[in-house]
Amino acid sequence: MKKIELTREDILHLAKLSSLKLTDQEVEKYCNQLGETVEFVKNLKELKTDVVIPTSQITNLTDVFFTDGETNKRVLTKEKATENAKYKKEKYFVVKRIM
Amino acid sequence: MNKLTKFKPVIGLEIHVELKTKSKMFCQCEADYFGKEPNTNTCPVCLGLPGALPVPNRKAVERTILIGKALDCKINKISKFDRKHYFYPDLPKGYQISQYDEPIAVKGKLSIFNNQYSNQSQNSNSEFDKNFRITRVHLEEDTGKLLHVGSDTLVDFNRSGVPLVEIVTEPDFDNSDDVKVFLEELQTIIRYLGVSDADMEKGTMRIEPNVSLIKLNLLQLKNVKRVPGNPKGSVKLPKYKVEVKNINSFRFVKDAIDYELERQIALLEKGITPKQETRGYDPDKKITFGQRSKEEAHDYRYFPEPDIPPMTFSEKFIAEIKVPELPQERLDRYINKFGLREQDAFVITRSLQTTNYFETIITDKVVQEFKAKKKISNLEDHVAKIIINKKLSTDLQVRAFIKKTLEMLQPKETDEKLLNALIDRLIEASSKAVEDYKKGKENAIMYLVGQVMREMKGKADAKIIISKLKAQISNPQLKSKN
Ligand SMILES: [Zn+2]
Repeated sequence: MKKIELTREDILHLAKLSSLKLTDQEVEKYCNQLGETVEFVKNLKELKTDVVIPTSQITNLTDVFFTDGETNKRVLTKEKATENAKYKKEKYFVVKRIM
Repeated sequence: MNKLTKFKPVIGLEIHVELKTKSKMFCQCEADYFGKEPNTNTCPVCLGLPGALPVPNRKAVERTILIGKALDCKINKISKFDRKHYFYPDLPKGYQISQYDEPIAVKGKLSIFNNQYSNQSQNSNSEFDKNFRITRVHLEEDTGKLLHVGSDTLVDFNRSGVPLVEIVTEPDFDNSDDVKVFLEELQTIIRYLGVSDADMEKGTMRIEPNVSLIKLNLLQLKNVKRVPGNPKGSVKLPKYKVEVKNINSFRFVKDAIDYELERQIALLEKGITPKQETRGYDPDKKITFGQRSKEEAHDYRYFPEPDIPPMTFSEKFIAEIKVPELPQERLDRYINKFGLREQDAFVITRSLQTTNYFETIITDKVVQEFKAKKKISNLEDHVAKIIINKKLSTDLQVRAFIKKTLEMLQPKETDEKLLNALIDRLIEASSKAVEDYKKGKENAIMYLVGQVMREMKGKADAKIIISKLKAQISNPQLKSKN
């Protein structure tokens, strides 16, 4: 299969957007693998789409709302809310200082 | 001012207003997060847990339409939400649900009346009313709150997902005074609509001005002078703009803009184009400062929110959302119907609480009956002055306020006999004042009036006293006594 060449910069940019840390080897690896993947997606181009209306919705629903002040059935206790956090302090989630 | 003849300021505004709904924007958590223990007001939706499905709050959508209508916007018949991506710890999903190319409302305007210009000769012939174009009004969700402590940043998601309306103006402003007046008007409107406290200090209203300058030749300057929104007068926008964030009062917005204009002019005069950036504002030092830019800030990768179906608004639905009387209309009504002076009408209409209190008093049945019976045609003006001059506090219960007001407005009934006797006595006792008056010292009579008033404990009409005093002093019978 013919494949698209992705550059190191492409991969690093995508890694940044995905919040991933990649080693040099991984960058190399993804240059190849991701190129193949993108090439595969290109198969879609074989489909005749000129009569299909573009959409971002597939449910055909419109105007789905809830009523303000409805009972909250999903509220989490403070223990539950922070339960899965890697770092927490008292009731807060904690990240490395950003400012 | 002199420097500005070479560079014309180009200022636009981004205003965020937190809506006062019961629930958050996309979940049923409480929108009121003030004073709550951290992370006690969250659910899978506003914590951005995988698989949680956001559903829009109908009231928040209606209130955004209401703001759009109040700002003379066109309400889009079809509107949708989009995802705006960026990484910051206050945003648990890695994206904010916002609106991109199909916002709820577009193309509005807001007029202000900035009477500062009445003193400027260059504008003496022009209208003081100015229009500023509103680009769009859209709906999004607020982020969590960050607290920086030591080497940590603490995150509280109680505010995450609170409905947030963004109002964007065209860069139609050319001075910070207009910005301040515009913001005060907008805040008053928002409060009249009852959709938000719009409190700068509490952060339920936030302003981000963007500031730049364009170099103009003299001819262009003439053409663009104070015609915001006029396409004929428009020139190409500058190639850069500086956004100022984290400002928590209108005064600081003005100061920040003034500082930025000075800073940028200094650069431009040296031939340097200011850097496109986001700056913070330090109110103590009255300066703006460069902030570390959010990485990839302009790669938001907007795309339609697949989890929320589009919204469609029928003509009927839009028409049923009614805009109440707005501050400017109310001000006009007070002037035209009640004969209030413009500055009095302005003071009363600025605060929703004050104007509503005023309305309650003047429309009260007892007050209306009193007005008709005593034929006090300018009763409303009297009530306005009582409020403005703080003769009575608007903290009073309505009934108590009305009782005291009616006492104050009760025409003075003078006990004629008592008054005549008193005047005679006083004239005899105060020969010095009487002599002074006769010698032409008009003021001397006021001393006597004061004496009479004191004796009568205020239960006499000053005009009647003066005329009686004058008559008695020039009474020949009295003269012969001397
Ligand atoms: Zn929630």
